[in-house]
Amino acid sequence: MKRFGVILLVLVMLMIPISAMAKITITWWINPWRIAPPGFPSDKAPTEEDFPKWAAEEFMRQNPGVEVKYVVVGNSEYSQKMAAAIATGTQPDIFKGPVWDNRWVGAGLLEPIDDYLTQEEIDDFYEIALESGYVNGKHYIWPWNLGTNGMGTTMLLYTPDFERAGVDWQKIVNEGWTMEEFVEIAKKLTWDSNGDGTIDHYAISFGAKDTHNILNFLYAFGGELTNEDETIVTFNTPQAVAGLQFVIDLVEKHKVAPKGVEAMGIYDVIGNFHAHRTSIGFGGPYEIGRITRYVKSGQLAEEFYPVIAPFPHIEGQNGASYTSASGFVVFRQKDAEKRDMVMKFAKFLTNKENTALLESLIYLTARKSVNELLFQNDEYLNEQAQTFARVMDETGRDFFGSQSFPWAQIDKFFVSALEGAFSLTQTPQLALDGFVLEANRVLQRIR
Amino acid sequence: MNEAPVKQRSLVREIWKNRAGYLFVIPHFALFVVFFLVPVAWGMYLSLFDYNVFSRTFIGLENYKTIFGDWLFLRALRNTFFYTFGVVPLWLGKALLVTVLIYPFRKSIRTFFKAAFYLPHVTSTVIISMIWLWVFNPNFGLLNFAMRTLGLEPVIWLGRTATAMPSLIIMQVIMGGGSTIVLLSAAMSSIPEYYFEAATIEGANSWTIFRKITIPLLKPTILYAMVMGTIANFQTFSNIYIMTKGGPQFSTTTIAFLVYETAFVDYDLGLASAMSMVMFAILVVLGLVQFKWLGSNVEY
Repeated sequence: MKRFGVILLVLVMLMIPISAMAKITITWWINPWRIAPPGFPSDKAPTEEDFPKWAAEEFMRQNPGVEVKYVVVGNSEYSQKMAAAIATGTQPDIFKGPVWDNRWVGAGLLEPIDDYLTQEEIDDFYEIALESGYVNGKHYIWPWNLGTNGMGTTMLLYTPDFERAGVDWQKIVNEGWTMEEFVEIAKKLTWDSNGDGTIDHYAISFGAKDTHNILNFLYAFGGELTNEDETIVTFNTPQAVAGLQFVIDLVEKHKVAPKGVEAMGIYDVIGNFHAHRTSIGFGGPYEIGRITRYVKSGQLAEEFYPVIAPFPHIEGQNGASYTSASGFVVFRQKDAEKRDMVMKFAKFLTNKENTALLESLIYLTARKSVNELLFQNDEYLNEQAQTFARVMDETGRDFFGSQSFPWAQIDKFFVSALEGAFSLTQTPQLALDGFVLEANRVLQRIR
Repeated sequence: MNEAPVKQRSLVREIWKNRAGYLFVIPHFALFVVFFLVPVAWGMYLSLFDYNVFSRTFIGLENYKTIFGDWLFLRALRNTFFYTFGVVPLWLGKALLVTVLIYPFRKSIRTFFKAAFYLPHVTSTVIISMIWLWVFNPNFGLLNFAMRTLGLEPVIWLGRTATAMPSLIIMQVIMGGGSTIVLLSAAMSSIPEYYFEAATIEGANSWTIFRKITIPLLKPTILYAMVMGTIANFQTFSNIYIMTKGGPQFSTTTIAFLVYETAFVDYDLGLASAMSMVMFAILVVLGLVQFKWLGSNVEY
C-alpha cells in the first residue's frame, strides 16, 4: 500500500510539469498566397508555403508556449474542406480563404473581434476593410488586404500596342474613357499580325466564367443586382441588359474581342493578355505581380510592364470598379486563454510589418499607414498603385451584394445566363430574365 | 426437435471449419463496412434532414420531393444518362476493337499496345482535362486549328449546348478503355485456340468468328467492364469540374457535379445526400439489369 502511494505521488508530480508545459496549439488554414517572407531571395518566386511557414515559425519563436500548425488550402477545395470540418467540429482556429461565409456568423461559429480591436487599428484600417467583416453590429474579420486579385477593378493596358495603334494611353490612365471612345480605340487595337487575312490579335477578351469583368459593364451602364434591401434580384433592368449587350457587341458587332466567350474562363483571358494576343487585360497591381511571378517560375518568357487604367464609363456618369477587402476570421474558442492567443496571432499577422509583406505580391493592404509606404523604391509600381487607389476611390463599389447576400448560391445561374447570351441562344434580356427568375427563387427559399 | 438451433450449430461449425478463410476476409470486410456501408447508411439517414452544416432538422422525405420537382436535378439526371450511355458503349466498342486487332500480333507487340492504351489510365484526370481544354480552345485550340486547315468553320466545342457534352464523351472515349483492353486481352488469351481453328476449317469468316465465338466467350468480361464502366461514368466529376463547370447553360451538369455544388457551395448536405441516394439507387438498378441481361454463365 505504501509503495502504491509513493508511485501515485511520483506520477502526480510528473503530471504537474507536463500540464504546465502543455502548448497551446493553433490551427491555421490559409489559401495560397505566394508572399516573400523577410530575407527571401529576390531572384526566386516564392511558393504558397513560404509565407505561412515563416509566419508560424516567427510567432512560435515569439511565443514559446504556442504551436502553430498551418495548412495551405487550395482556392477550389476550401469550401468542401470547410464544410466537412464544420460538420465534424474540426474547423481551424483561424482562417483566411478566398472568401468567407457570413453564415458562419449566423451559426455562432465565429468570434467577434471588437474587444480586441484597438482605436489605433480602427483608425488605420480602411472602412471598407472593416465593413467586409461587419455582420449584425459586430466585426468578424481582421483586415489584411485591400482589393481582390483585381478582376473587375481596373484594366491593364499593354502600352506598346497602344503606341503602335497611335492611341494616347496616358490620357486614358489620367482621364478615363467613354464607352464610345473605348470601342473606337479597341478597333484600332484589333489586327491581323501575320497577314494571312484572319484577325489574330484583338483589343480585349472575355470569359463567361469570369463574372467580375463582365459585371463591371452591367454596373457601368446603371444596372443593379438587387433592390435596396436586397429582397429582390433586379439584374434584368434595361440598364443591365444594355451593359450585357455592349459586351456582346464587342465580340459580335465590332469584332474587337474573340468569339468563344461562353467557353472561356479567367485564365484564358489572362493567357491571351500575357501572350500579347490582346492589348487590354484586367486587374490591379496583383496582376502586374503575376507577370513577374510567371517570369520567375518560367511560365512566361518575357517580363512586360502594363499600366493600370479605369474601365470605360458612360459619358457623364461614373464608371465602376469592384472594391473589396478580406482578412482573417477566428473560429469560436471554448478556452479563453486560447482565444486570446489566437487573437494575438491574428494581430501578429495583420500588424503593420507583416501586412507590409503583401508588397512582394504587389497587393494593396487594408492599412492606410502601410499603403503610404509601399513601392517607394519602384517608380513604375508606385505609379500603378496610385492609379489603382485613385480609381478604387472614385468608382469603387461592391459587386456581389452585402455579406448576407447569397451570391455563392446564385452565381451558377448568372454564369449560365452569360453562356446563353454569348452563345447567342438567348437575347441578353431573355438571359438576364432567366437569371433573375432563378436567383429570386433561391432568395425566397433561403429567406 | 427444433430445426433452427441445429441449423445455427451447423452454420457455426461451417464458419469454424473455414476460419482461416474468414480471418483473411475480415480485414477487407471491416474496411468495406467502415468506408462504404456506414457512409451509405449515414447518407440515407442525412437525406431525411434539412442539414446545412450548421443545423439539422428532420423533414422526412421532403428532400426527395424537392429534387424531383427541381428542373436542374432532372436536367442533371438526363445529362448523366446521356453521358454514361454515350461513353460506355463507345468505350467498350473501342476496347473490343483494339483487343481483336492486336490479338493476332506476337506477344511483345501486344504488350506494347496494351501499355500504350493503358497509359492514360494512370494519368491524372486533371492533367488530361487540362490538355483537352487546350485541344478544345475556341480560338487557339488544336481541334479548331485542324478545322481551319481543312477550310471548315471553327466550332466553340465546350461553349455550345449542342457540342459540349458530345465533346466530353469523345474525350472520355479516346482517353479511356485502357484497363478494359488489358482485361479483354487476358480473357481472349484464355479462349482455346482450337475453337478458332475449327471455325476456320468449317469455313467461317472473321466476322462470323467474332460474332459467334469471340463475343459470347468474352461475355463475362464484357459484363464486368460494362457494369464497372457504367458505375464510374455515372459518377463522373473531375472532367466536368475542370472543363465546363457544368455549363454551358447546365448542359454538362451531371448528378455528381450537382451533388458537389449542393453540398459544398450551397452547404445543403441533406439535399445533396438525397441526390446521392437517388444516384445510388439508379446504379443498383442498372447493375441488376446488366447482370440479368448479360449474366449467363459461360464455360469452356
